[in-house]
Parts: sequence; C-alpha cells; structure tokens
Amino acid sequence: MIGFINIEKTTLLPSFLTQIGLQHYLLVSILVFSLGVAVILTRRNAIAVLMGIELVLNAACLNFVAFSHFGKDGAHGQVIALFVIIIAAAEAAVALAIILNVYRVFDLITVDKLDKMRE
Amino acid sequence: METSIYYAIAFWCFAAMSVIPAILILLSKEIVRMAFWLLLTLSSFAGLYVLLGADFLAVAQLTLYVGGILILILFGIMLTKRSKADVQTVFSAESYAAIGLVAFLVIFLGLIQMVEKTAWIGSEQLVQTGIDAKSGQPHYLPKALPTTKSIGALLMTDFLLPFEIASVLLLAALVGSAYVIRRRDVS
Repeated sequence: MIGFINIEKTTLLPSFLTQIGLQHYLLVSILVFSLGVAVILTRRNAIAVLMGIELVLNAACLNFVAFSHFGKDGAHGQVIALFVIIIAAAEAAVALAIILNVYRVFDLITVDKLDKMRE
Repeated sequence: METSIYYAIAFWCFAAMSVIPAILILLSKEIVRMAFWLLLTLSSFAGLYVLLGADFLAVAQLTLYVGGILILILFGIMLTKRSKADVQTVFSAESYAAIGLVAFLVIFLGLIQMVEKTAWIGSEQLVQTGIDAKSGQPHYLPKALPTTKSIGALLMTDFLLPFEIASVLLLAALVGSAYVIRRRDVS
C-alpha cells in the first residue's frame, strides 16, 4: 500500500525532513532540555521540580546516545547514558525521601514557602 | 547516513511524542497530569533510542525510568497531595508563564546556535543525494547489531570503576532514603 503511494521516490520533501542526522537528535535534546529547565524554574511543587530534573537528565542521555551512534567510539555513549539513568534513579529516591520528610514536618511542599531549616 | 522515509517518519513521530508532552508538562496545572505527560515523554525517548540502535538502553529506559522512577514520583504525588485550596504566592500566574517562556527561549536559542555552528563529525555525510542513481533503490539503514553484549563487555573492562561506584551509590541511596523516611516513635 505504501509502495503504491511511492513516497520513497519523491524529492519534494526537503532533506531536513527526510535525512535524519545528528542535528535532528540534538534538536530534540535541546528542546527537551530547555523545557526541563523552564519546568524547574517555574513550578512551585517540589515533585514538579523533580519532573523537570528528569526531563533534563533524559535530554542529556539522548545526547550521549546520539553521539554514540554518529561517532566512532562504539557503545561508550550508551554505557554513559546507562550510568546517567542509574544515578537518576538513586537521586529520585533520595529526593522523594527528602520531599516526604519535608511534607511530614512542614505539611507543604511548595518550594517558595520552604525557607526554614527546622520548624 | 542516508535514511529511508520510514526512518524519518518514525523519528518525527517519536520526536513529536517527546517534545509535545514536555511542553504540556510546562503548561499543565495539575501535578498528576504532569506525571502522565512525563510518562509519554519517557516512553518516546525509548523509541528514539531504538532508532539510534541502542536496543538495550531503550529497554533499560522503559524499565528503570517508566517502571521505576515514574512510579516513585507517582507515589510521592499520592502521599503529598493537598486540598485544592493552595496558598497565595508572591508572583502571579502570568508572570510565572513569562518567566518560563524566557527561560526556555534563552537556553534553547543559545544551544541551537552552538549546534548549528559546530562542524560535527557525522555531519559531512548529510548530503542530499536523493535516490541511488545506479540501482534506483532507496538506501536503507545497515542492519543494527544488538548492543547488550558490547555494553556488558564495556561495563566489565572500560567502565569497571564507574560500575562499582554506581553499586555503592545505589546502596548508599537505599540506606539513606530508608533512614530519612523512618518512623520516629519517640517524642
């Protein structure tokens, strides 16, 4: 069915759309990274800030895997991305433990209200 | 690298499914909705890893991020859910959106300038050649090799020290969060 439409033979689409290269993956990585930073800066809920951090870490992972694919070092970038995922898991666990503890003590997790070190 | 049209379609689908839920995370008002957009983003990142030939990492992403960290975040949301009446903040909602937009634009424009001006290693192969003139066939990607064996070999040879340190880090995180969240019986 796709062969009947014969989209492989078309040259009407620009090469930016059909030839996927390194810059395309970097573009996705940059978009997600900047959106993650915007989420970190504008959210009041501490767990929403944690979600923004996860977006940033995922963008960095995608960057590593893209360079691993287009570069010459083999699977090194993928191993580094695996370590990033592992560290993100440890960091999310510790961050949530802290957030739950703060919620237990202060009864709120809006980050702009948390300005004391102890009650 | 010459890519076929199906690869491009798959890439743009996964890229849209990564970026649009990220935009919706920024714009949505409820924390549970943000968690579900994050689920979509993380899953489509796994699709992008498959397109880049990283099959083990795609499955690891789905298992660890979606099946681990996202579940952890959802538990955290469940345990810290407040009523609808929120406290008043210093800034208004519109200025928060403006701050978010400015932050996004600054970082995005800065990074995209850097990406466009750098002569990347693989970029000289990105020449528009259309279809193969000799055979008339479109050029497909070479067959992707499974990466589990090479990742395992690298973890035991080149990345042995980070591997051991990651184990210690996970143990420390486990003990630390269990200690932080323990029940305090004494007054």
